[in-house]
Amino acid sequence: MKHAPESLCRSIMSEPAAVLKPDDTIALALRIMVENRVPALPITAGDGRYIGILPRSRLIALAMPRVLWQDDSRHPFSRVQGGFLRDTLATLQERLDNAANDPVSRHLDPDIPVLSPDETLMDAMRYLHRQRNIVPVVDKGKLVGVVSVWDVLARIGRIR
Amino acid sequence: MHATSSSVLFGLSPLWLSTVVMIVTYGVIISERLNRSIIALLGAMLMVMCGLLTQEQAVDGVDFNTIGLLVGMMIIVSITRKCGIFEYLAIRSAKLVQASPAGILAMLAVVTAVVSALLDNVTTVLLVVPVTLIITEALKVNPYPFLFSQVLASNIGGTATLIGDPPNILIGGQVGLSFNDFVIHLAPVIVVILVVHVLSIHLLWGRKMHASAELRARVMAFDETEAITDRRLLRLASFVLALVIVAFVMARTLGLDSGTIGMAGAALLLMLDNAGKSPEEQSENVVKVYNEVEWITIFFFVGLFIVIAGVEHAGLLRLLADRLLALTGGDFTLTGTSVLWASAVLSAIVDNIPFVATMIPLIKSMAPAFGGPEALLPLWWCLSLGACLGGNGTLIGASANLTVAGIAERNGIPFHFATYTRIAFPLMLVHVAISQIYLWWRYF
Repeated sequence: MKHAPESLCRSIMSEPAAVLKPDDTIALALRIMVENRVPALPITAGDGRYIGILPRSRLIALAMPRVLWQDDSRHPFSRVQGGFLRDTLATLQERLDNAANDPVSRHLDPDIPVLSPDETLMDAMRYLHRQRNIVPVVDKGKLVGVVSVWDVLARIGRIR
Repeated sequence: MHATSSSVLFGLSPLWLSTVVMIVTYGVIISERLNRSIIALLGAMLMVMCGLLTQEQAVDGVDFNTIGLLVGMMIIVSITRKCGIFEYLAIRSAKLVQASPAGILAMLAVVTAVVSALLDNVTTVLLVVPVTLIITEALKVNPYPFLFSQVLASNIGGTATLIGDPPNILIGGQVGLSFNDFVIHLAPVIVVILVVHVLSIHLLWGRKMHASAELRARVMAFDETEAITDRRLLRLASFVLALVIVAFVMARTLGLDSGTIGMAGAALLLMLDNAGKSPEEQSENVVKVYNEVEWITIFFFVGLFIVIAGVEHAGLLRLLADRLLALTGGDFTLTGTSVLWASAVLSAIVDNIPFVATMIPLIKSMAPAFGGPEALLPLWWCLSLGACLGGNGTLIGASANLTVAGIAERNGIPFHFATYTRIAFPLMLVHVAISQIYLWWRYF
């Protein structure tokens, strides 16, 4: 079945606020993300090839003890609740500072699903209605845009 | 020798055919090409399909006392851990020693050993290691010595009781030894080995560890009472766990087998945890708990029991026992010493569960040579000490070792086979040598 052009990712997607290079630092990514209030930033190689995405949740995680955000699906027992932690602002800042000069490529999330420009609005919504805020659109290995919850809501809600 | 060659596939010798099935099964288990629960079940089915066992004999071969104890304890632990008591214990013990790294290194080894004596080793390290990583990160000390020490402590502590380590669950379940038997005969030497372990770790690492007052203050600021997430559940779980331990201690008087006690504890805790909740909540809760039962282990045990029943029926184990007796000249001390050291070295290299499961009927068949089943008691302690402590020898020696290595790697802490074995293997030999002296002194 052929889908109407207005319900394809190609027509919904938008330009990402910024695109990171693999060697860009976490400090730079943090500044762009906070200043632009975006949930995630895509990372591409010099030739535009899509590599992965850096979600804001990873930046939050970097300020926490690592074992708290390590998720081991095989051993749910090893999940620490961490209610006993009393970290001060200085401790949290120190952890984030330790990672500030890391290249973003070290912290990208390779498991985030991607869409192709010819997939439908419904395909994007299947990813966006739960934990994701933004899904990269990739055509022949190259990043061509992103579909965010705002793009989808604007189209369905007829808001320009 | 119940199986007759006429019912066996192509009229082959049951002894040879069952041996081949067992060797192939164990070979694939060791190669780790296929999940161990799958290969154990395939081996078990081959025993039946080749005519070495009838289905009835295969079912009889499964020791449901052991399975009941394992499943029961897994259910109790999966409910109990949710209340945060283990995080509380780890933080509390760290604060007791004023958050000094050397003190925490020793304290967490002791906590791991004690918890591990009551829960299985893998569960213990899964509960203690993550909190340890938070503490070492706060103190900015190398986490490796802590994890290394906890691996050894979990296997040492687990040796002290019937429910602490799968080899003991197997031995206790199949031989009919009680919780008290294990505590009376093994706990004394385990206390000595634990003290030696804590001292060794202190000399190797602890005495060189330091943390500034400021960093120690970070750990002292942890509020362990906030680690308790569910006080009602804590009360219920402590009550049931205490009841289960009392029942284990009084098992003979009560006339209850360990499998019944484990399952009864599980049923009681499930009831207390779910009473008063809506049917939907109950289903959701119960499904979660059942999902946390380690079905791989359970099916592995079921398959293994049937494989061993196959070789036992064919007479292989009797033959091997006779050979072993001939080698030791029927000398009880030499037999015990051989069992201890062979178990230790083999358990360091291969999975100790199939080894122990095979050794149990083999040792049982030595009873006539040594004057009846009662006389075999010291041999069970040789097997338990060798198999449980031997697991410390290499990174692949016990499940807890691999579990800790996995958590370490995910947290960016190198935990390699060679670096682990270089220190752990000699320490394991020292622990087995201590056991040897104890066994000579007490039984031989």
